[in-house]
Amino acid sequence: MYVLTELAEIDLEAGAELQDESIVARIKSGERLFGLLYQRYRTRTFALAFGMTGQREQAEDLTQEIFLRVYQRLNTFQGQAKFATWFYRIALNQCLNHCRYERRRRQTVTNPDDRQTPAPVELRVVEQADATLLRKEIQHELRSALLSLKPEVRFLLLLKEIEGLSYEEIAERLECSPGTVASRLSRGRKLLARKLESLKGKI
Amino acid sequence: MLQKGFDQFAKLSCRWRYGRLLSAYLDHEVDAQVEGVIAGHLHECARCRVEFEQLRFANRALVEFEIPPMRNPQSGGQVFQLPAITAVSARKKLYSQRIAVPVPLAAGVAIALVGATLFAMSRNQQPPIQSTVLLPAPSFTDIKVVEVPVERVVIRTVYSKRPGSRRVREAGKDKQLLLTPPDSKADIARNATRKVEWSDSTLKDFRPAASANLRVVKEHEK
Repeated sequence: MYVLTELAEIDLEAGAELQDESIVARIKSGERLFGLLYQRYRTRTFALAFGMTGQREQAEDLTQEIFLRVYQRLNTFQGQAKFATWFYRIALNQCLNHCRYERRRRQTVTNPDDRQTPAPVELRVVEQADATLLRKEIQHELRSALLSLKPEVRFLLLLKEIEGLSYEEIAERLECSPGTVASRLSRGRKLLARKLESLKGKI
Repeated sequence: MLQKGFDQFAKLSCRWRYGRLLSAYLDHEVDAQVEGVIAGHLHECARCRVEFEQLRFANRALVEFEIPPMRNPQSGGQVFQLPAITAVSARKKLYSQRIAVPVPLAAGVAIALVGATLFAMSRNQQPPIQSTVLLPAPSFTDIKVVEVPVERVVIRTVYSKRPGSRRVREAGKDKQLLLTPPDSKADIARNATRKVEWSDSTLKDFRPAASANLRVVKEHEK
């Protein structure tokens, strides 16, 4: 896992009122301000990455990959669109790449230790019906249901849930029409509800 | 019976009409008017209500989905030094905006120009036609009509004199091809009575006119 050395140098209070686009312009002109963007976007990006991967370590790595990619491609940002739009476009591509890579890896890897199968929680639930264990079970179910969805639909659901954006904004970020967003969201929610039938009374 | 069928159709229809909008209704993304209509419909239709509940359940499940806090990245790991960005960006920008499109375009145009020039030069290298210089520019009115009767069909070929074309230079060849004298004895016998001018001198500067209106005339038996 990488650490951005710039984080120690920047003054977070000073750049609070700066727009993302002007920060990018200043980074391009040579100032070391990428840490500001990182601070602004890291929590949301991590949440997206966690939703996409379902595992903490992978999510952290994916977050770093996204930021690294953003930094590498920063010189291609022309300022025609909002920085957030551009950022989520890269994040989506990185997430899809990651999912593709993971799927291929799971197909080839046959070693059971590498598959990271979760511990059988239900047995322990019977032993001691604890609230935390129940919560863990619910979380596990939720995660596996989310992971069984298509990556594009999953990303859309997470974007809507985490960011709380309107259809227009999501459409702008993913470069599609609001109608497409609506229909994909609807389909994703229906699928998710069908997969979570077992949790009906618990949530 | 009819009522039952109508109800079924209505259900199918309402699912088609409202099913796509329920998700947007949940997110308050529909117009106020449509929202009222959907709310009214949900009050009436049990089936749509079930579907709406499914969507709401999925939304609730997503809210329940816990995302662990991101660990402090400085708690361990390699230190990554970001490379300088300006030098790379200037070169890449120059390439993407100034070089990538115009230079190949200019190269293509230059190659096309050179090719066209070479082609034109190769055409011009042909030796000038001497006959055109010597001929006193005959007009198009010099036309000679030759009749070649074959059996009972007379083919009239119009020969005209036109300077400057390659075919005038090769008039001798054309004439040879077109006016091969009859060689077999039978042909000679058949054509003995017919007056055909075969002499080379008469057709020397003439060639068959491509644009002349050639007509096939059937000769009646006399």
